[in-house]
Amino acid sequence: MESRITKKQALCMLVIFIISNIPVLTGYTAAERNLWLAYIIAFIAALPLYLIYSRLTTIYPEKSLYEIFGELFGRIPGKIISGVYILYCLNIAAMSVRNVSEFVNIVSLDKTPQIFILLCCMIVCFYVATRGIRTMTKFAILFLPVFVIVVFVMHIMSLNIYNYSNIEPIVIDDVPDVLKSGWVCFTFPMAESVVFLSINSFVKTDKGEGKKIYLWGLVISVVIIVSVVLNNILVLGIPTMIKLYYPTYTAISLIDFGVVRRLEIVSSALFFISGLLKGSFSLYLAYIGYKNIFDKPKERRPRGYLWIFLGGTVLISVAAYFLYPSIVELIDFLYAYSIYALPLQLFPIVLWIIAEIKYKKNKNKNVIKSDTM
Amino acid sequence: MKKKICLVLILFLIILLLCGCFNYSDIEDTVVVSGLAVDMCDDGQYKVTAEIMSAGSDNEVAVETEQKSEYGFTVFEAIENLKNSSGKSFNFRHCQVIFISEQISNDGISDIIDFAFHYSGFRLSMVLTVISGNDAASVFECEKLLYDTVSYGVFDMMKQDQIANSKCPSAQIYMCLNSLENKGKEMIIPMISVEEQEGEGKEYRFTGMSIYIDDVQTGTLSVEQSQLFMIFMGKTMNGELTYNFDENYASFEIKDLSVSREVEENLSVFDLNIDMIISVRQLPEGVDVSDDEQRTKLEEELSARIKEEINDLFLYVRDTYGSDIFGLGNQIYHVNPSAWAEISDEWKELFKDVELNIDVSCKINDAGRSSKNIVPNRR
Amino acid sequence: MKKEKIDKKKTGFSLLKKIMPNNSSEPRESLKFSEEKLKNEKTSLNADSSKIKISKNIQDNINYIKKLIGDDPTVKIREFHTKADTPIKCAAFFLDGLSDDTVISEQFIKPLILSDAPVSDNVLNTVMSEILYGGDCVSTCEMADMVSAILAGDTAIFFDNCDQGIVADTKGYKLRSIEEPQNEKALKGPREGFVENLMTNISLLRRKLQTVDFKIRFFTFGRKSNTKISVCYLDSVVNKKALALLYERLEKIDMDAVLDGNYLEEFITDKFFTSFRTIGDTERPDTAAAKMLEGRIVIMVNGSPSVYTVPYLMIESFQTSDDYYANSFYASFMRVLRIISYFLAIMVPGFFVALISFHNYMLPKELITSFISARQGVPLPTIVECVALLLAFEILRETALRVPGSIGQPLSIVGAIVLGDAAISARYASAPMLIVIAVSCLAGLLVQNTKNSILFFRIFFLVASSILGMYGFLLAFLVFIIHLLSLKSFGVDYFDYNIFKSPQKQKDYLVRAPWWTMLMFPEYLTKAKYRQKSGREK
Repeated sequence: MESRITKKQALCMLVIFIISNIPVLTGYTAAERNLWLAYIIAFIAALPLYLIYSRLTTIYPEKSLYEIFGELFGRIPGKIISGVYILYCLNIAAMSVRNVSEFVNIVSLDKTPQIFILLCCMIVCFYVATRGIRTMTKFAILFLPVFVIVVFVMHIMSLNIYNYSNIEPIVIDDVPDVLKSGWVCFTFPMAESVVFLSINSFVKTDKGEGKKIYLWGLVISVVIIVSVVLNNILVLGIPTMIKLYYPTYTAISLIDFGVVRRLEIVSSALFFISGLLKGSFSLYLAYIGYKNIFDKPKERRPRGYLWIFLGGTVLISVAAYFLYPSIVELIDFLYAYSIYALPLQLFPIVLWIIAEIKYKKNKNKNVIKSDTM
Repeated sequence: MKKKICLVLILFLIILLLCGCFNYSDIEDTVVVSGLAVDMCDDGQYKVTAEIMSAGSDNEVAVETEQKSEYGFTVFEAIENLKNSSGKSFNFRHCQVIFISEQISNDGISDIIDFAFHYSGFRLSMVLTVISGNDAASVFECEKLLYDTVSYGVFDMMKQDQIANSKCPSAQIYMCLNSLENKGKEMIIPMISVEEQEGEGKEYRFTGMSIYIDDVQTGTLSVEQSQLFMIFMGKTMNGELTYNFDENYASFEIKDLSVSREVEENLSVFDLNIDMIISVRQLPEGVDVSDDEQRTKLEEELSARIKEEINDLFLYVRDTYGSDIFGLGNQIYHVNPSAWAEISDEWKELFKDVELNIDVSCKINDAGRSSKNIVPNRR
Repeated sequence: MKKEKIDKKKTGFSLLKKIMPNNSSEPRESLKFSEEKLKNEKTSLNADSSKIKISKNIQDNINYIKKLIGDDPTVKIREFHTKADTPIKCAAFFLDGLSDDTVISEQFIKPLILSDAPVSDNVLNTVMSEILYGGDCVSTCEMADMVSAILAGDTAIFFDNCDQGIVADTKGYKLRSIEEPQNEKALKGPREGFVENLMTNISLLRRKLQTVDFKIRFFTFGRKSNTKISVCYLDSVVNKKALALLYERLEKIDMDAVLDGNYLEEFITDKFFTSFRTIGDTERPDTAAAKMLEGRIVIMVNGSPSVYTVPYLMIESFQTSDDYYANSFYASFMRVLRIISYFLAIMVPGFFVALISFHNYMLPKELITSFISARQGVPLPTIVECVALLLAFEILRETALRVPGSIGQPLSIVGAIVLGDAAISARYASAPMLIVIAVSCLAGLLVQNTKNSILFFRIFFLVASSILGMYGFLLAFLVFIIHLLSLKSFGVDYFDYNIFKSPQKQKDYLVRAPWWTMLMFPEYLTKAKYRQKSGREK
């Protein structure tokens, strides 16, 4: 008997999955003052993709991504593709944890070797992931309102240092830059939720209810991301924002609202917790994939339960350490990531086409059957 | 076998946990730096003076300050020498002001701004200030005037001024960097001078602001001119204006200000509209503000005077210094970025031909507690 | 040849099996054995005399009992017979001190001696329905029941020519009187507390809930102690899943003695490796009755005044019976205060150490200078000072508990004030750290029910903060919350995260809403819906 999670829990987890980087960094800044427009373009590009996810949830209710692979492509090719997606989950976890430990290393604990911070974070991720999906999503429901409220309160507190001329003119004059920025914003973090499809087997969705998770998740996260990016641009100004590694962190450190000062510790705490939550959740998704590959999808705790997580943890630590040498190369890595991850993220389009054809065939078959009865 | 593996894992964990605390430092080993002063020496070296807050021992309440100076060819080297000269670790996160001497300001301060931006020990909300003269470190010898340190006194003075008087512009590091990198606006930094009174010690005073072209100082504005500058930019929150009406002085307080700018098609004529809401604080003699006619006349006179003064300021800056501190280039960028991209490189020369049409309208709102003057011996 | 090949394969896998721990859901070998054993012994737990029936010959019975416990000088035997011509021979066994002499003689021996009923085939029927006066007598044909009755203080009566005996309830030992429990004092409300006798406790509870819904079920545990345990609940309201789980776990217990409920608690608790209690206890009947009314189950153990309630949720550690007898606003404020003080007690030392040692730029500049001057000359690093002060406070607290009455109060005052002051003057500790530790410890004393978790997590947060500063604190916080969220108490979530969902669920959680608004039952606890029909007109 597997644990069940409600749609609201899945929604909160999805939102945290997408906005986990936002309290600290905002991504590729080639678009300069049009960065928020780049995010809106990325939203428009991600909208059909998320509609495809909801549609897949309707066609294959309560089947996770790996099971869909198995159904569409047969047993063995499905397992190979699932293997690729498991590695992708581990990659996402490694990126998230690496971002967190890099941030901690640069901003606060600069004399501590980064591998040590990474290992401490991974130990906690291991513990959190072994508690199961219900616990993690329960925490997401508790954490997300705090996150959103804190972010918006910080925006209100920065109102007196806004410089409204920083966004003007609201005209896209440099289209290639904006598109490039939008493309990177699309792959990281919006289209990463292709792996989120693997929790469909835990959520009970009626026909057409997949939209409640995916679409609403996308809309809420985009609203938050765009508001944060706008806040950054308005507070910092373009030349400053481009140079900084962590623009949101710096923008919040400038808040001086009466007695309220030095709020950046709150922002870094939010980032820390949401980054670790994303990492442990991706580890759990890899574990679901493992269960599907070895044909134990319904078993609650298969043999070697803890050792699977331990193996995943070790893999993530090693990958995180070697992902990119230092923060300076982060932009190059993001650029490379947006190229190699794109096929994985757009693969559901292919799935959807094949699934629609099969669905229509099945529908026709059923109709013919009922006619002949 | 299983036990051995578990044992190895546990030992590994324990080693990890016990070898932590790299960043651990006891609080009594830290030293709080409240302000920095940067001077240039004769041999081209920077002299950096830090004002340090040291706590008295045995729970004394009073805070003493010391100064320490170190030299180096770059600001970073000087600061590292400063750190190395003492066993304690320096905490720059409470440093709020950087004082720069006018001599360095005349040579170029881009390396100081660059360093302050990159150095992770500094906060970006630090304020830059220029000390007139050649000795920036002398500001630390001023009287503290009920503050813990001179730097906090200066910082609070400037912050209060922005709320109460609006004469002093705000020059935080990120704002200076934005102006430096922006071709459409030049940098401005407030200026402080240290004056020595006979037998009373040194005192610091706000004496206006310094104007830059790129990172080199070209001139200064006085206090009155900087107030007008703030009105021009629309950043005034409060302020007092004192004018002379037939040898009687009257004071007015600015309650609300809105400024709108426009640029014409030929990109060299600008329109400036200033709407002010004013309350009368010290009535001019013989004027009765409750009377509509007299009030309108007063408003018109005020508008004319302010317009004249702002026009004078603009022409003065344009002709004497040629520095676009008003952000007119940015104005062009906001309207027509592609046109701006073409002319941005020559903007420094083009600015000298720019014309400005100013339109000021004042409205008197309230006159305090009463609207009529006191007439001695009226009854 | 084939067999060897198969064996080689097996060795390969078996090596792997040895490394990988067996985390499957099948029960382990030892548990299986004890289940089978229990099935055999369920009927009677006196293993020696199991399956022996009472014989028709009374002399055999007497000899058997004499052989078993006859050399015990407190066991008394009384042989007598009825007045009839063909008398019924009887033999009564009882324990001196445990049984009430008057009841035995008046209710059971006197009517038998005075009766003139003859021997018949159905002796027992005659005796039970025509002769004996006593109210509580049960017939049995198992020897084991008779023996355990004697040991419990009842009287066992054998009859000649009858293969059944009578167990008569004649318990008459001295008990502690009903008084207010020391640990759960209330400012207002009833001052009764449970005592050590199971029947008295059940009567105390029964008086509060005089309804047909009140159901009891008895168990007996302990091979040597034969302790009786009762499980009480209200049938229409109880959480059925928890009840089923409870029965399932109780049936797996096999111990040699159960002297207190705590012995049982460690068997039936959901998860042992946690410092949070998932089974609540109380010594007050009104608290126990209130918990039963909400759908919880009460377990009472003979010989212990603490009764246990399952399921137990986190919020209950912050509720006291005072809340319900006092004004609603005051009670809500106090409850919020308790919750805040719980989090203060856990997190303040770690947070403070992290701020001072790793992130001292986060403090306002005046505080930094005052801390520097306070810490001048203190030889210990901040963390060691914190641990030393915590240790000192814990020693003070335990001393105040254990030391006999009159010395306890002044000692704690002396310890706290004088020693603290002396420590600061001697430069062993700094004043800010002392205040922080004092706040944490005092806040911890306010919520006594969570003592265990405060002790453990305070040190956990402290150690984590001393490794990675504020980020270590955040890691520890994450572990703490995830641990809380993953706990369950008999199928109910320990930490209900849905409290923000609707005002209905908030009514008894963070605040104590007035009684006339609490129309429904807590949804997470039971499926029953409406508690009362309507409130009042406001």
